[in-house]
Amino acid sequence: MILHGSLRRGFVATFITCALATLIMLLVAYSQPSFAMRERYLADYSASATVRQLFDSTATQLSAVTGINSTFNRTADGYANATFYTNFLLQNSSANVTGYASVLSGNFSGAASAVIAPSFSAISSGRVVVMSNTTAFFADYPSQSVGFEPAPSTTRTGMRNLSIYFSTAATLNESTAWSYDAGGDTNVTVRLVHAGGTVLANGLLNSSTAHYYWLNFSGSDKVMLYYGNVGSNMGVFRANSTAVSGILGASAILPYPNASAWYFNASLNVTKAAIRRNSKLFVWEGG
Amino acid sequence: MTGTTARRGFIFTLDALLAMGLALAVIGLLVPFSDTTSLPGHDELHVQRYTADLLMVLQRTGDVRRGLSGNTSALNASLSLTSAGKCFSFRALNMTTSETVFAVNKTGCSTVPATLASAVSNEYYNGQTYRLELLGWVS
Repeated sequence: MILHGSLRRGFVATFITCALATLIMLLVAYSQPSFAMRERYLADYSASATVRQLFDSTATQLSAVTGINSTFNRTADGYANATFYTNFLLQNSSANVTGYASVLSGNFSGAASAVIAPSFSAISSGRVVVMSNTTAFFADYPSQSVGFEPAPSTTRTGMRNLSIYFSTAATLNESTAWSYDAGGDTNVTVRLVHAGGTVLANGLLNSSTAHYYWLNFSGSDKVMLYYGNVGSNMGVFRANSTAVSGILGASAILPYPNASAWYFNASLNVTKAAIRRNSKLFVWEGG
Repeated sequence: MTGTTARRGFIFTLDALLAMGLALAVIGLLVPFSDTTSLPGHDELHVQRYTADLLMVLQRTGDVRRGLSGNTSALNASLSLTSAGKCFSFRALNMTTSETVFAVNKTGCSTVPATLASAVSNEYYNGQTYRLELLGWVS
């Protein structure tokens, strides 16, 4: 009787185990995505990749439209190097930006089978800004001014190094360099290439006091370089030209967390298939 | 004793049958997971992604801008570097009139099939925005 009872209990236990195992396997099987779902996933992924490429491509084209070229790299010691080049004197790119926005939302939306809604108004009124967490590069057409300033909601650019490059076909008559500060917090280098030769200057500047570097060319044509404070904003760099044409480059070395991403002050809203993305146009997203 | 042994044998046999049934059920349920066949459209998706990536590369390297300036040799060279067995056809069009400004086919890829992948982008050059199309297919 004891043996008989054990066998019956064994049978019941085996049966329940089998039933549970089968139930679990069935649940697992039904929780797996079907082929149709997997295809849908792949198709959505494809649309997602297309939208991402559209954002990258638009940011690249916007650089061409505005005439602001940029390169970025991460240094081994925890900093980011952001370099911007633009033609001096600045051309007003507002009409081109507006035209490019209408092409994107019009003809190109149809070609890309997507709904594209650009918001470029902030960079189509004579001033183009490319910004990071703490620092913004600006090109202001009305004032013929280019440089770095603190990003909105910050008061300090936080540059460790600033390199300024100006190349022109004009001949430099004379220059008045700024006075360096022995205990300055920013290492500033000026490199001028002009028809008569090259000028190189380097030293430390304090980001909270005003410094001017004048470059006088023929007649009354001047280029003014400024570094220091503007009101409560620290570490502002500006280059202004009265009538001297050339190429201006400005390179800033900033702590990587403050400059790990740079984007135009403009955004794009794209809807393609099931994918929708609305974000700023990034020219660099770290690396 | 004989009766008990027979009953025990019957239950052991039933147990074995249940185990066999369970094993078959497990095998049957696992077969779908061991699917190694290609998904329908998987190859096309691969070419689609390849095509989209290639168009981005052609733009980033400046090959498209050189093509718009009249020099298509860099574009030709870049297309010839793509994987053997994959064909590509590039066109730049006027955005408003849709007229072809210039077109380049990868060497040996003149016949365009009905089924192919495509990628579209745009390029701003000399004050004009051009529509770019790259078609890709497996030869």
